[in-house]
Amino acid sequence: MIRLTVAVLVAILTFAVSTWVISFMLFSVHESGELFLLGFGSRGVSAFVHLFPWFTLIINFVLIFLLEFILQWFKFGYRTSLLSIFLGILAFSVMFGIAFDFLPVHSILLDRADNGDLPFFGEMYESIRDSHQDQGVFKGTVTSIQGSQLVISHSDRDHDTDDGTHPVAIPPGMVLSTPLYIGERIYVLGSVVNGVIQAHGIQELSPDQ
Amino acid sequence: MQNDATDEDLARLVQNGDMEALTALISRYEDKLLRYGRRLLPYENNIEDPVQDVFVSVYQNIKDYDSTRKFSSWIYRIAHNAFVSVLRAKARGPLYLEDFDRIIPHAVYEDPDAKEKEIMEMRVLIEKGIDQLSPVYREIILLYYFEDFSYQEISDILHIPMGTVSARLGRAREALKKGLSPKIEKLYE
Repeated sequence: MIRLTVAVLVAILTFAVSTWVISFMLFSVHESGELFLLGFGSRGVSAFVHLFPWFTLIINFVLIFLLEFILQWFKFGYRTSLLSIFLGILAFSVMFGIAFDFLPVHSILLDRADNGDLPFFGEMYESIRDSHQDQGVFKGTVTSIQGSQLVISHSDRDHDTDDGTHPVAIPPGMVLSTPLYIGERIYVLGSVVNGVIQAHGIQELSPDQ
Repeated sequence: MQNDATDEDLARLVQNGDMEALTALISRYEDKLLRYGRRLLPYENNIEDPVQDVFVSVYQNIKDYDSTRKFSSWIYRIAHNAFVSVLRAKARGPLYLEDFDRIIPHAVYEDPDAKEKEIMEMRVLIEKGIDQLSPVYREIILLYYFEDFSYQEISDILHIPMGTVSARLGRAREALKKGLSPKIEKLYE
């Protein structure tokens, strides 16, 4: 009886962690703006694949395998094929993860991480704000606009190489979904040529991104 | 009274501390498990020891037995674990008791009438070729044709889905009828 109770508790805990990991993965993808990359053509898709939090996904698969192993204790667990159980757990984790993502929990934790007030997982949340320049991804606030050139300023409070100001050149013919204004935060996919980011795609970020 | 009692009734008495009921259960299952063990582990000289372990385990874990479920499935589950331990101890390399049939879902084809018709033929084939089958197939075919368990009971004994029981039985039957497919041997031993 005790073993069964422990199995139930461990199963619930594992499922809860799996749900949280999936919701964090979803939150980090949309909060970092990386979802925009999918609209920036093949180069954007390639950058999205590079920047996708694969490690988080692997952790989640490990948790699902662990949960699958625990469920073998129960009749419904061993009476179901391993593939069906795996897909079932994955579907439930994703559903609950999406639902959890609607709650403001991750936003609150991100704010606390920004303020240096999150001792555990603080770095993990802060990494959402990182600007991945090595992958051609730049984030920043528009500080000036002059014709087809603008300047963005980025700071994620860690004073590392991605902090500072960067000139951005908008190539002729690029259609922006909305006109840009000074003070807006934008997400840029591009490559640096002679110190200027040649934009392949630009997307406006929401104020909390 | 104990002669008329079902296994489940006796198990309930054992749960309440009745040692005579335990003796009755042992006398009911000792020969069955010895016979089952000798067929499953044909190269094992001393099958009495693991069978003895089964009864010790029954006594130690009888409180965990749910008397609404069949006692025979429960004790054969314990026997399965004991015999697998022997197999592991004697195996020269890693012992694979899982297969692809456990991973993907299978449809269940259980036909008791067909079993009735083929049981004599299958028992002859099994007696001739059982020791050449890999343990994963040997066990399932013994449980079905010699110990007379249903798919659902085998599912509870081996902790595998009924579809897997159906698929493994189909493969084992086919192998025995074809004079034992070397493919199965290579895959699982």
